[in-house]
Amino acid sequence: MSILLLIEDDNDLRGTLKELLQQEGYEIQEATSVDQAMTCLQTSQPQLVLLDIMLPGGKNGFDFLESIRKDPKTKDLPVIILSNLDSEKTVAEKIGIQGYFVKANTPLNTIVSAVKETVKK
Amino acid sequence: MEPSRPALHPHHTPSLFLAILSVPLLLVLCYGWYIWRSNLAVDGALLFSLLAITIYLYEQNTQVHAEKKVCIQDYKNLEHKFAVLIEHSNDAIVLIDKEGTTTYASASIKPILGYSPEEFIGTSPLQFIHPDDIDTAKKNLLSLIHHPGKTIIGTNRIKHRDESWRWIEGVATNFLDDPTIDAVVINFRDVTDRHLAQAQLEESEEKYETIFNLVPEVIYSISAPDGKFVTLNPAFESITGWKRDEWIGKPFLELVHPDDQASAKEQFFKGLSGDPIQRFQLRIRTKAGTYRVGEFSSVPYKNENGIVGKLGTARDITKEKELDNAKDEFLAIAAHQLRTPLSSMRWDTELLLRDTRDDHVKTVLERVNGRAQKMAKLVNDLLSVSALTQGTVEEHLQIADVKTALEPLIEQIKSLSDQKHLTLHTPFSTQEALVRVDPQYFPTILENLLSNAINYTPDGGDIYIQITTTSSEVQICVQDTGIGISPEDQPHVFEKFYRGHNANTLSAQGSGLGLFVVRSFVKRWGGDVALESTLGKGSTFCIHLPIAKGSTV
Repeated sequence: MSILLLIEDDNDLRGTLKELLQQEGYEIQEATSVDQAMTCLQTSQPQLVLLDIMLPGGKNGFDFLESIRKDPKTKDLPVIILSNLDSEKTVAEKIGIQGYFVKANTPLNTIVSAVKETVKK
Repeated sequence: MEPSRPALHPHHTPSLFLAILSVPLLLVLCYGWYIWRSNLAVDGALLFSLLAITIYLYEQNTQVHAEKKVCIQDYKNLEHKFAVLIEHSNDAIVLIDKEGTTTYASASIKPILGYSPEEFIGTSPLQFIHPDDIDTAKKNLLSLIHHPGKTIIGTNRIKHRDESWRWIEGVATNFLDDPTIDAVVINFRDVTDRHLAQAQLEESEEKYETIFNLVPEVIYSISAPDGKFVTLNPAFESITGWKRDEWIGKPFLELVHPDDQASAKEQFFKGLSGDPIQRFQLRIRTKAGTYRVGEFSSVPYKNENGIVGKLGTARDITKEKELDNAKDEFLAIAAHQLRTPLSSMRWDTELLLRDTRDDHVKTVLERVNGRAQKMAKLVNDLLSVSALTQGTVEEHLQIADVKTALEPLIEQIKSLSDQKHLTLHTPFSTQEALVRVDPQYFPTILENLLSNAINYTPDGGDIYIQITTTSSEVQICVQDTGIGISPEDQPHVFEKFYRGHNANTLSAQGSGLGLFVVRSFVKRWGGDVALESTLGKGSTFCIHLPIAKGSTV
């Protein structure tokens, strides 16, 4: 079973996404901050990261993204950004991501398709 | 005109001499006749000698007389030459005696001051001088008269015969101890035009100085090709904290933020090739080490050697940029805060919709989901409008393929269009259709057209999406079989908050911002939007954009 790391600080959104993806047959690991996510990565190897940008604790999604891209163990780890900021797409693409969706504008079905496509590869 | 002549002239002497000589000659001839009659030899020799002497003296006299005649003629010629030169010179000459009275004035005084020479002679040369200048002139003249050989140059206002004041520049030299001249010689000319030009020049220089010194923008000039500062105005000091002489002679690039230096260099050389006014933004380092943002306007600077540098102004827009950034930040946070509960609401309804078999539940959930989507769209529109009405927005244009941008959007509207049983027709070819657009907003404007088509088309209708390319442009058309737009509404639909009269028939509840956003952005990218519509039949919206050369990023 594929493992997905879900980094989202809003409880409702995280809950809904977890339920959805478990229904689709994925194992979900959750984190609500960058530090928590990094700790997670030390003990497991997810096939995909679903990443929010605005996160608490002084570090945002880009800090996480830059960290994992620098580490040779995780530099090719696929990441899909789920954010409510639309101004960061170009910046994110430059660093290297497998998808960027504005949550409020994206139906769940689109997210499921994107996850299925990326994990399959 | 004959000049006045001095007194003595060897005019009458030759004839008098001849007259005197004729008397002894007559006596000699009488005596000679007597000797010849009396045959006296000694008297004959004496007579002969006397005759010889007389002839000799006569010849001498003739010679002297002839030489004198040549001399006189030469003198006459020379006098005439000088008379002509003086009278035809543009400068006028005036002679003043040791009492300070004018004894001579050349003819040129008439064209310069309107007076005839006679009106000047016998009077004081100071009589026509401007009251403000007269004291200095009097002092100068007095000093001059008492110092033989001295020269004074001065400019005074002198009254012309027609009552106007002329600026007269004069060179006065004391020749009183030269017996041939015995006067103070003043040589003068009219410099009124030159004086006026000078005054105007000084006035405009003063104006320029004022602007240069007081304006709160930086005024600078840079020499080419070395790029060194040549001039900087006081505003430079108050804005950057540097003293001007810390930077004059130094290369301007050293003041520019390292990330902006490449662009600054490019602008500098581009302007040298003769481009007209250039406008660009650069970050400049202050003495404190911080950076301020300047909006620059620069032009090439030319002199007789060609283009020798750049001249420009820079306005400090640091505050404006900070304000823009603060506004962006606020909006981002506001958008994020609004979008978070909206996404949650939307996704929860979608989660339930995946499982529910109950039609009633399904219907209600779809309604809630629909409204969440509409609210999300409203947030999108507000962000777009805010971006459009922003001041100095830098364009981040990139090349994009239309089909690539459309496909995910069509995916997204599928669920909504399925709900209404609308058929989507997307006859896309595999050919690329490249346009140069802002990647952040291109999906938004396409989405606006698509969602309009869906919202304003009743159940069972059709939506056609077409991409056409010509050699110069790309056309994206969205056609629907919806309620259409009346001729009265058509000219207004692109206005902010305008909604057609029939817009609420399908309870579409739009914001009135969608088309405004579409047209504003498309126009910014060099294109336009066209509308064709028939009430009750449907509408077609076509976006035209110039075709982009190159490839997608």
